[in-house]
Amino acid sequence: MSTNGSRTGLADEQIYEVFSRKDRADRFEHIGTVTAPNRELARVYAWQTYDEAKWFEMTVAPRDAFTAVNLNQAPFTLGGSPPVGEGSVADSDSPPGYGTPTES
Amino acid sequence: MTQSSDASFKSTADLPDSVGQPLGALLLSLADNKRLLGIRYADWILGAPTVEAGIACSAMAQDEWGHARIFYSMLKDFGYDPAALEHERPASEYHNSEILDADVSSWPELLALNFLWDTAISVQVEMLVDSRFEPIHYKVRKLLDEERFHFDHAHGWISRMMATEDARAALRDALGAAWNACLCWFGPENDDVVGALSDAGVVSGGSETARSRWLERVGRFASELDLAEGSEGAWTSAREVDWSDWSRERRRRTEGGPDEDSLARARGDRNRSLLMD
Repeated sequence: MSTNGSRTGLADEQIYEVFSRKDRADRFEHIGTVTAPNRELARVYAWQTYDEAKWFEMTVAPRDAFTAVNLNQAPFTLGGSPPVGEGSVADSDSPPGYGTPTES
Repeated sequence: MTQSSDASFKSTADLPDSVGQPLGALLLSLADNKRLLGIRYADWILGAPTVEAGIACSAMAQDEWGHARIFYSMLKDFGYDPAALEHERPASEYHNSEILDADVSSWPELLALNFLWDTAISVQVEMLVDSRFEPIHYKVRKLLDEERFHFDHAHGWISRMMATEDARAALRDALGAAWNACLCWFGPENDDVVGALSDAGVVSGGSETARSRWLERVGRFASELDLAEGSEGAWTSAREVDWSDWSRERRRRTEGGPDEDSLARARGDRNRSLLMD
């Protein structure tokens, strides 16, 4: 599974991570993802897909905007991988966080 | 509000007939259009280009049905029987636009309804936000919060499709086919329904004002598709409005109504046996 065009085959689509909180005093929680061709549609899709609560605030960001800190893979992927420096992946040429998410 | 010195109407009992009758007609038009638009959105829940777009259609369908329900239930105070309105009318008594009479066969056509028609309805609803008829305030504000996302959905999709020539051509055809019906829906310059409501401060402007506000929203993309001309803040239609065959009473083309399948769904015929109220 690649970051772009993953579910639709449309080249301009990308994954956006969705965060929300129910109350001003709450921290944001990562609640899921949507696939969209632009920010405008990512907003709409997120709001209409994750409508299980009366959110105080919701925000979306393209997955590419996140950089891995300790694991040598893009964030928000399922399954673990060794921390940077502890596995063979760390010896590869690609910097952490910018690789293709591992297949799960 | 055009007559700020006048007291507001706290309930339908306060409305003179000269206002209650046209307001009822406008609410019925809004209700029927939202009911049928909801059906058109629902047609695309499973056929939309992406899963997310299908979910969006589902959400918009539910919004429209909810809004229709609100307007139908309000009509009780205007001398209508809401149950009869919702479940018993023949097609010829529906006040929805002819562009909602049958299902649409392509995604660009659905986007034309989403972008042009849904926006037209919202513009007219916005003109009730500061209405002298107070009971409508809360209802329309909540409804318009939901409608923001409908507009953004249409806008996001059209922005994307404008980038390729084939998609652009399909949009030109689809928006072009819906264009005249939208322009007409606000009514002619001397429209008696909107005119009476505007004079009474129940809606915040006449049909020309509403049409201009709609053009402000859709004008930029419409101009790129040769449907509008002018510049930001001053768009006009590039096509003359064709009023032939237009019914003032139904706020649509005179002939026709929802087709058989749409009518059965609008009325909930298959669910009739489950009706509790």
